[in-house]
Parts: sequence; structure tokens; C-alpha cells
Amino acid sequence: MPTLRYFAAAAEAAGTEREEISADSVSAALEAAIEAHGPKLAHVIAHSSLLLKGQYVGDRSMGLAADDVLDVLPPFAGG
Amino acid sequence: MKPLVEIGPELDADALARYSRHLLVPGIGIEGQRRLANASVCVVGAGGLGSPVLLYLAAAGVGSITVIDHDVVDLSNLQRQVLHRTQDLGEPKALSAARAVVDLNPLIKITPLISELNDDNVVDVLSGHDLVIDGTDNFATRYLVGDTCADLGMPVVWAAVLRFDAQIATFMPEPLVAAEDATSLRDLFPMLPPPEATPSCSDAGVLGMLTGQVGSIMAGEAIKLITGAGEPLVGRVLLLDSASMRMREVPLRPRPVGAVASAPKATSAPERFDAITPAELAAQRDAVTVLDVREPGEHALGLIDGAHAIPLDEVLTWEDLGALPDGPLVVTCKLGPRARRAATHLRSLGHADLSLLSGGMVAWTEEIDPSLIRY
Repeated sequence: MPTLRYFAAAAEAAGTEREEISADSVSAALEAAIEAHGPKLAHVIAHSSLLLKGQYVGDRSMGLAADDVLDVLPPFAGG
Repeated sequence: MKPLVEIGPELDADALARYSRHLLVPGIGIEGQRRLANASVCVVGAGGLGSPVLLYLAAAGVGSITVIDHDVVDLSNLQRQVLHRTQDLGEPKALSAARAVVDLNPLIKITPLISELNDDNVVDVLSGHDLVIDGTDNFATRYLVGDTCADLGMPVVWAAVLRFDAQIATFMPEPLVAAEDATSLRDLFPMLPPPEATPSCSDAGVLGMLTGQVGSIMAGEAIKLITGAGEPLVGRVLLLDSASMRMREVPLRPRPVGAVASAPKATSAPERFDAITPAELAAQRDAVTVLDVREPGEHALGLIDGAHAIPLDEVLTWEDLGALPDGPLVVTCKLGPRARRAATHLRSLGHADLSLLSGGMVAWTEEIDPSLIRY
């Protein structure tokens, strides 16, 4: 199953740093995660960057393979 | 990685004594130290990240450092900006930073600039350095730095902190690396996130120590680039969770072509938009589209004829401009700030013809259509 890895506010909203989700596309995986963890995660994910094999996912309908790892990175700018 | 900077002149006895602990480190040594002495680094921001970066680069003997910061030292800074002292409250941070650097290492050249970084000066300020450290605290300036460095072919050491968390990366441009390896901030965050998605340290707080830890890592990245030692954070982003003291890394590659509608270059905050008065809008009403981003309850109180009434939160989820007709767009809300946020997002999606209605619906009701309900 594909894995979602959460960082910072995403990990806080999901209550975990990583989880396996049964889904064959990015959007299906995100929907399942939001279903499980609620609107707070939805809000974070809406503004986060998703990286698959290091590349920004612009088209969330793209497919996910069983061993794919999707990284969820909320933006922050503090310095 | 090939050292970024050529070996400089021989070092004198003072320098050799001062930097002896570097000379003993394989990968640095005398040659590396001479590269450091020959290097020129621009540090943008003398705050949380800037403090440790400036101190450690100065300690390391980076020959020439420019620090740019328009702000003055504030009491709340002293929780983490360890470069500054209580007696420096109210002083320009760039000057306070320069003083600390000179006290630590009088052998290097430090150039403080008390100035904001903006469209007009960014190329002049950043040019001529070997690399740039992004120690700023907002996305608009970060994009300004990142976009300009990509254009100038300069590496950027980048990091961002919030509460217990940090993200750190070193972005290498062409021609220093091949196109398929060249990354910038836009490959990580292609579009300006909405302000409510990026709380600042003054909204959400930050662990003081974290800025020290992360800024030190940034100094290390600069030293590795300059000397060629070790392996900088190129092609990867370090994710640091200081609450559990765990670090992870994710790979980073250039974003796919067409991943997002091409994002225009950032201007420094606030984004500048053309303004249109209610009278001007009324005169050319048929020639433009109006987008009203207030809430449904407000829309019910009255709209400009033919306006598209779409709440801000919904606009901010758009990833393309398909919901809007082509052509000039005027964005409005009650008074202005929400319209500005919506327009900023639309600009990042590539909209090239945006204006804001001066004074918003309050002004429109006052000057053009008093039949609408005032609230």
C-alpha cells in the first residue's frame, strides 16, 4: 500500500508521522486520510506541498503505486 | 561537490592561529580555509536564523559578509536572536550584527545594509556574492531571493522554522549543476501560500534554540559549498522535529514542467496591485469581470451587477483560472484585505490583469449604488 508521510502541522493534524493508505491515486489517498483524521488535516493538506519521489505533485489525480511514498509538507516561512 | 570558491592568498600567522581547529579537519585544511577567506556571502536577515549564521560564518573566517535587514532590535527578538544584546534595543539589526561580527573576528569584512530587500535593489544587493543565506521570515521575500538567485546562478541556503519544526535545503542553480538537478524554492513550494496557511513566529511562536540549531546547520552548508567538504543538502530537504529530536529527509527534484500555471516573479510584501476607483469601474463595467470574495451572508446584502460572488476560502483552493472568464478582473471585498489575498493567489496562478476595487464594497455603496445595504 502507498505510504503518506506527514510533517509538522500535517503530522499534528493526522496524529501520526506516517501511515499506509489503500489508494491508487494521490487524491484518493488524501481523501481517505481526511476521512480518517478530519477537517483539520483537510485544511493543512489544502495548503501543503505534496512530493512524490521528490517531485512536486501538481496534478492530484496522478496514480500511486503500492510502494510509493507521498510526503506532505506544510509551508512555513519563519526565520 | 566541487568547491564553490577558488583558493585565496596565503594566510598570515594570526589567521593560522585563529583558524587552527579548521586546519586540522580533513576536507577543510589550509586550502579550505583559504577558500573561506576568499569567499563572499550575503546573509538576508539578521534575526533568528541570521544570528547563528553570521556568528559561525564570521568565526569560520568567511572573508566578506554582507548582512541586509531593515528592522530594529525588539525585546521579543532576544528570546532567540542571540547576536543582539539588551543594550541594542532600538538599534538597526544590521548594525548590531556587524558589531557582533567585528567583535568576534576583526579579520573579515562585514557590510551592513539597513534596507528592505525589494524588486528595485535585489539584483544589486545579491550580485557579486558566492552564495546567499535566506534568513528571512516571509514567503514573498523568500521567493524574491530564490527567483533572483536562480536567475543569477547563485546557490541559496534556505531554511524555515516554526514552533518545534524546521525545513532546511540548499538550492543549487544552473549552471553550477545540470538542469535536471537544479532546484529552487519554487520546486518545493511553487505558489505563494495564503497568509493564513503560514503563521509567522509572532503568531505561532518558535523555540529559540531551534533557530540556533538550524542557523548553525545553514552555516555548515555554506562552509561545505565553499570548501567542497562533505555533502550539502542538495537534492534533498532536511525535516527537523526538535520536539522528538528526530530528523528526516525527503528528496527534492525540479518540479515537472507545467506542474502549476507559470508563477510570476514575487514582489516583496505587500504585493502591489493596480487600484480602480468605483467611478472608474462603473464607467467600464462591461469591459471587466468583477469577483466579489465576501461571504455568502455579505453577498446577500447586495452585489455589483454581474459580479461573480465566490468566497475567499473557495478562491484560495483554486489551482487554475478555469472558473473565471478571460480578460481584466477587478477583485473586491468589503474594504480590501480579502480582495488583496484573493488577487495574490490569482496572480500566483498566472493571472496577468488584476486590479483591486479601491475602498471595496463600502466605497461602491457610498459612491455608486446607495441602494445596497451598509453593514
